[in-house]
Amino acid sequence: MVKIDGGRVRQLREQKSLTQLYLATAVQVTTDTISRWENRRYPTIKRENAIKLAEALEVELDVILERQPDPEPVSEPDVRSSQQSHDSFQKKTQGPADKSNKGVLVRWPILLLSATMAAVIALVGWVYFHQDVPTEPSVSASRSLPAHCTPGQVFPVNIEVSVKEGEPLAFIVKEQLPAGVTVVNASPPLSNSGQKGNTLKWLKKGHGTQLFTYAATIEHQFDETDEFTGGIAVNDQSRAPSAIIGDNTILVTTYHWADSNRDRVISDSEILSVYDQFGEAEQLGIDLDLLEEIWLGSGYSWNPDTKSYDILP
Amino acid sequence: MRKIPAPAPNVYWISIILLTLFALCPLQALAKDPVVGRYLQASGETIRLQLTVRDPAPQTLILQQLLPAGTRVTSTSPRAKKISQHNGEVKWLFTGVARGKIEVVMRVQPPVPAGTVKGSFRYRMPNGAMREGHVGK
Repeated sequence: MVKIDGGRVRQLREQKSLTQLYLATAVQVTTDTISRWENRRYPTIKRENAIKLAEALEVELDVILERQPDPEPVSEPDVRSSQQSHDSFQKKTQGPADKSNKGVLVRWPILLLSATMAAVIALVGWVYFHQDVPTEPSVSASRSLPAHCTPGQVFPVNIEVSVKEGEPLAFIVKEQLPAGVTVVNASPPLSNSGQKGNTLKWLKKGHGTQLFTYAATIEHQFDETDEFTGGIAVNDQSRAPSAIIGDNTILVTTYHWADSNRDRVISDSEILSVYDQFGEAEQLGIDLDLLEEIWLGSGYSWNPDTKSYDILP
Repeated sequence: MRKIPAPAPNVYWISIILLTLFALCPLQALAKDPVVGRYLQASGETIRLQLTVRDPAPQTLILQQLLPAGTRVTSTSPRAKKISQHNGEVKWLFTGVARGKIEVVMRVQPPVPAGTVKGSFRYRMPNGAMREGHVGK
């Protein structure tokens, strides 16, 4: 008994344009038998039938015999089937890996969140432990004054001083007023040297935030801008005075200094700002009653003849 | 043993977004208002309201009440800064406000029906932002 390659037999028969009947007659078998040989239903046949079959196909016997599997790459039909089995093997072996990949995909947002939080904590810790301890006191001052005022009307000026040191520090606040500005009052009171010409001085000792307020008037003509300058000097000759930053100009107009948006009305917001920012305004000589009258009315206008406000009911 | 299925990826994203929003949300926005007002008596001849001030207490507070047309104010306690008969506006300005309660009494004629008096108040927060509230029932 030998094993024949049924597909090869069919191929050779068709190449030679032979019929199964012809082969059946040549081999002395039925056409069904030829069909079964070609379809590999009888993988093995009698050697003598194989020889007759080969003679009918006019080929050597070896040509129609089934070849043994060899180590070299097989022909295309076999490659296809082996590839399929390889793929299925791959799928089986990749099953657990797929699940692990899926697990990583699901978990990466929380990994990202954890990494971000860790980075933020590390950054905060680094800044906290690496911030420089101040070796010398840090003193700063800022001025706030209204953007405008009417001539002869008292307006407030605030100087906020910040001393960033644990121990109380002695410092001098020096304020240089522009020409035409007259100080009405100050809180805290000016030092003994007080006002010299257009210069105000306060001598104080302390730390933290401290407020220096004064009330002043301007008799200038309209539309003239004046500049305020000043500085803070500490008890250390090696350090130059720090300049007072913030507002340094004021416009002399027909608008009340509290009318910040110049709509000729003192609104709820504006009067609240006055009371919140200038708590001692009344003690400084600022006419808060007048301010409240304007607030309670429907508006005001500046009367240059009487140099006062006409309040609209 | 039955395995608990892992949460869907959307849950992680929602958690991240919520945590981020919470971290970015200013605490002030979550804090209660420092001033709350309510009517103790909002009808009749006597209108009585109470303002409760908590920390951080504003230094200055404006209270406004609007009365129905034709209502005449006979007295206020504390004294109102402004009483406008033609538009029914009554205004108070409280300075030097501290934590606690402020009670305001207003007597009117004729008696007003319930729900016709409207109260509101305004103040500045420490950061300068304006806040407005309404006097509740």
